[in-house]
Amino acid sequence: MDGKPKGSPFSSEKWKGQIEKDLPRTFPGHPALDEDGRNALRRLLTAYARHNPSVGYCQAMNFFAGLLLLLMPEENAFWALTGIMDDYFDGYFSEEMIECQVDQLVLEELVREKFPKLVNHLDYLGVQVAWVTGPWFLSIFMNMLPWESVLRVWDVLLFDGNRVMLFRTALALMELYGPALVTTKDAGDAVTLLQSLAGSTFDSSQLVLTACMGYQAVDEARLQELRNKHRPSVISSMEQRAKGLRVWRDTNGLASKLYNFKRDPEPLVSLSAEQLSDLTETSSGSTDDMYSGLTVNTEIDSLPDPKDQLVWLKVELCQLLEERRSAVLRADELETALMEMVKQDNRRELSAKVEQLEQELSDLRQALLDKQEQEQAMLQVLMRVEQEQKVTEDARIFAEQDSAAQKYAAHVLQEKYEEAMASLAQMENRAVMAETMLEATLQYQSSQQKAQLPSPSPSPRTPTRDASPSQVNQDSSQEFQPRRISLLAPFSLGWRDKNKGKQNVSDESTNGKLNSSTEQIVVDTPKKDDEKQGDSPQEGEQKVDTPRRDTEQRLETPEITTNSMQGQEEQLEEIKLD
Amino acid sequence: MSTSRRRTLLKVIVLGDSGVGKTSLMNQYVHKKFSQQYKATIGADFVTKEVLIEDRLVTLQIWDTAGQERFQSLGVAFYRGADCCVLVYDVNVNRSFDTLNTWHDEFLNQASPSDPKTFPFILLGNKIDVDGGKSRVVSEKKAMEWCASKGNIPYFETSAKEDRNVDSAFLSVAKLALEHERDQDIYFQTVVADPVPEVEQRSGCAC
Repeated sequence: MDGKPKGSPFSSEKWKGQIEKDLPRTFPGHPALDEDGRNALRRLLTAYARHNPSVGYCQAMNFFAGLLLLLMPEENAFWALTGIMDDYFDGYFSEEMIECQVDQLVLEELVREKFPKLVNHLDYLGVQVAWVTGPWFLSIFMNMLPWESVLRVWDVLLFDGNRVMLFRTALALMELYGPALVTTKDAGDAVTLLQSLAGSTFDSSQLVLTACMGYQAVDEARLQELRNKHRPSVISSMEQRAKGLRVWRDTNGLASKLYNFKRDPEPLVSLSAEQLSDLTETSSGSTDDMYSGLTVNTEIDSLPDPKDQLVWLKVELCQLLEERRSAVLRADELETALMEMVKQDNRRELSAKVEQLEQELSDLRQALLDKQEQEQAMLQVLMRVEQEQKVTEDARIFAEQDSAAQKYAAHVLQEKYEEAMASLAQMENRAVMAETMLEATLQYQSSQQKAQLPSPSPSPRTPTRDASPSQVNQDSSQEFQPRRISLLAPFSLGWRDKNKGKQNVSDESTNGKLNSSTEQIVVDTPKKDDEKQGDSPQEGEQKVDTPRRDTEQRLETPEITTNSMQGQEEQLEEIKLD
Repeated sequence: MSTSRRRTLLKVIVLGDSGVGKTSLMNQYVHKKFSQQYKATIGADFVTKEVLIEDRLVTLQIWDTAGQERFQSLGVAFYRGADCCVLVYDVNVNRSFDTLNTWHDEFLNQASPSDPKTFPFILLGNKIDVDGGKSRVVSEKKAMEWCASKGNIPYFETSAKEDRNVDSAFLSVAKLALEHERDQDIYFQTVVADPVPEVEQRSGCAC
């Protein structure tokens, strides 16, 4: 802000870029603004920028200069522009544009005064008059009204020697279009309508007449009075904005600014108190100190009196303090609101959690109850199972005992059986022994008999040839039969039966069969003694054959018997040897 | 009625250096026109456009501002009550990118929104068509980084001349603004009134 270059060649460079940008954007397409026209425009604007560096170049000046160039030679245009800028619009297009803002506040007050109903409606819609009238004033209605109307307004303006005509024209336009604006229903509509209506103000005479005749009361004196009234607020807001921007950049955001206010309001208040004391000090001291202490803008230079400045500064300070206080209050409010919200949030969250936990708890309880029931049931089942197990165990023990007893009994029986078997075997052995002994004895006896009766014995068959063999056999057998029977009745039935069979063969076939079976036994017995077992087929043959032989070959049988008897004798001898 | 106005009107401020194409973007979006011959904007200009977002008809109130730095002084009058701020720079001009910080901070300072940290911004890198992109000096990456540093501002590369990305950018703007306005409604606990009359009166819409 303090770095406003004054007449240095750098300054013209600074504006140059903006001027170059705006050259083609000044009445684009207008035939007069060809290459030469643009060069002239460039020269004019650059010249003014160098002439008055405090303004330099401001957008909108390109339009003024362009218009002037259309109407007069380049040099005249320069002086005309200089006159308008420096005299009519002093402080309007400067870097801070303070007068422009002041004028808008003044206009707003005037509109408020003249058209209360319209302003009421605009307030209701949230429309600020300055949104539309600001561009009107800045461009002196250029591009806002039809060209004819613009020129008529410029006419009056240049003639008047001040910018009162701006206000009168604006008020006239409000008067003309106010009734239409009142019907609008939102801010957008209102602004658009006012813009388009103004752009179609083709009746320039009516406009100028309304402006000049209707608002004669709005004169320079009145405007100055109103400007002085509103200027401080513009400057203060300007300051605030600059400060705000600094604070914004320093603290990196309004949020943190608010936060700081909230956190320690005391230091801030004391700080402002310090500033206040500084101020009071400087009021007695030099004004330079005050300037350096407060980093006041250069605009303050334009204020006439240090005392006025002091008053104004005090007012500003008060305002600032007030704002700070309200900011602190707002911050506190916000904090409490935030805390409440947080609390509520927490409460809600907690209650939700508690509910959830309760739910879980009840679930768990239910589960527990179920489990307990199950457990009981299980226990009962277990008890029953145990009882059953006991019963079965008992039963098993009984069964085991039984089985043991039975086993024992079986064992005993087995033993008895074995004993019996053993005794049986013994008996058998004995029987065999007895039999062999008997046979041996019999043979012995027969040999004895043979020895005693030598004649019949060497030729037993001779009588058979001579007499019937059966008779001979009968004779011989009849001699020993009684003894034999008496001694070996149970054992040698075969012998007796054989003999009997031999006797009865011719009578009965069944007897023959019987005989054959007895024969078998006879044959069997020696086998047992010899322990030869491969002769069974022969035995079968014998069995089968015997019935036939019985009938057909009776004569042969004695031979067989004798043969077998001989074999037995040999065997006996062997046994004796053993 | 005032609540209904708040609910359907979204105020969008377009900021950026002089000559980056703010007016062109706005005209391309609203009127589907591009002209090489725009007049320099003095003070501020204003257009409205109706858009349908999430089955809701909203009116975008787009404020086109003058790019010269000194006009920022007048900003306080225009910025107040904005629902979204569109920052525009020229990808072919470094300075227009460098001044973004000023525009950003100046806006927050003057509009003094209740929620400066979360106030919706959007960045448009305009004039990507120029010279087939050869004269470009600000890379997309650089722009994205800047956006990230400002709290993940959405970024669009546009060409108002060729109508590239303009619609999508402004749709994003509208969505952001709507979101912000909703948050504001909640924040201020404004009771919702009947928003119907708003829609009724609009008969000839340009969209």
